[in-house]
Amino acid sequence: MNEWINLNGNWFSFLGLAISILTFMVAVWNRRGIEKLNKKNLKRTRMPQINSDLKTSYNSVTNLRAAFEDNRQEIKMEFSKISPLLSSLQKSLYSSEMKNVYKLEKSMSQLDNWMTEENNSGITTWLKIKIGLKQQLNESHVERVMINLNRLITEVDNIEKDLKYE
Amino acid sequence: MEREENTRDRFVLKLINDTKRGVLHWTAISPERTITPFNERIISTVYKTVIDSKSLRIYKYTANLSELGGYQLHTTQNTQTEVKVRLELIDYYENPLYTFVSDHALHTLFNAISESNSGVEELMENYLKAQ
Repeated sequence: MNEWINLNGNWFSFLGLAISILTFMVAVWNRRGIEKLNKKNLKRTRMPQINSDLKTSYNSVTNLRAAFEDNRQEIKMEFSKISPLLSSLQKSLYSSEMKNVYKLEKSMSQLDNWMTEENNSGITTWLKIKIGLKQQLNESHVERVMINLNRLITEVDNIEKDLKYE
Repeated sequence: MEREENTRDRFVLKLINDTKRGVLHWTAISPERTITPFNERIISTVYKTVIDSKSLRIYKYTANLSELGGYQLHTTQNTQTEVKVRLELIDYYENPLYTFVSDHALHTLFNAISESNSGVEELMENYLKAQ
């Protein structure tokens, strides 16, 4: 028996060391996972405030849209407030919940090229319009953004409701 | 499906816009004549409008989150209620024919209707003129 233990002792020591290293690695990996989850949960608490800001923007644009021709500039300004909100919202959402964020971002991707003033007399502006680099902000642009914004707000509302039951 | 959703969303957006512009008018009707599908409680005035000889009805109601869709949800948490807006296409006898999906745009539409029917703009203008 003693002989057997002497013979295999080294192997058992090595096995013990390997198990210790493996346990340590799993513990570190778990800790990282928990930290990541905590961070996400912390950011999730910001979600209702961001959604409320998105609703404010949505309501402002519906008010401005009633007199669209007079309010192009204001509508564009309201849209420009949405981008930073989306950046913050992305931190609160999981990748499976991002579909509507991407759709909204896509519908606003040309925001900088949407013109709000009738004055397009400059040759550069005229050329940019002709080759499609710049466009007059029109009702269909606004409609597309509004539809995607409404879908995102509704989805975030539903996520908030689900969280109440988790 | 996507196209159908787009049409529905665009329709609701147009309702909001036309209501805000004062082009579309809604009349208040008695809530007693409105029967909700799951006996939810109507908590607002019921408004009705007619577009192309089709009637639309909108109201706010409270939905019990533990009894969604008529199914009882067993939960240890307290019962929670939620205020929702329902927009329906109705027939001559005021029976619902089609119910629009509840979303944020319907809340905006309801608020626009309430505001335009309240006459608050007129009140403020008249009051300010009188001073």
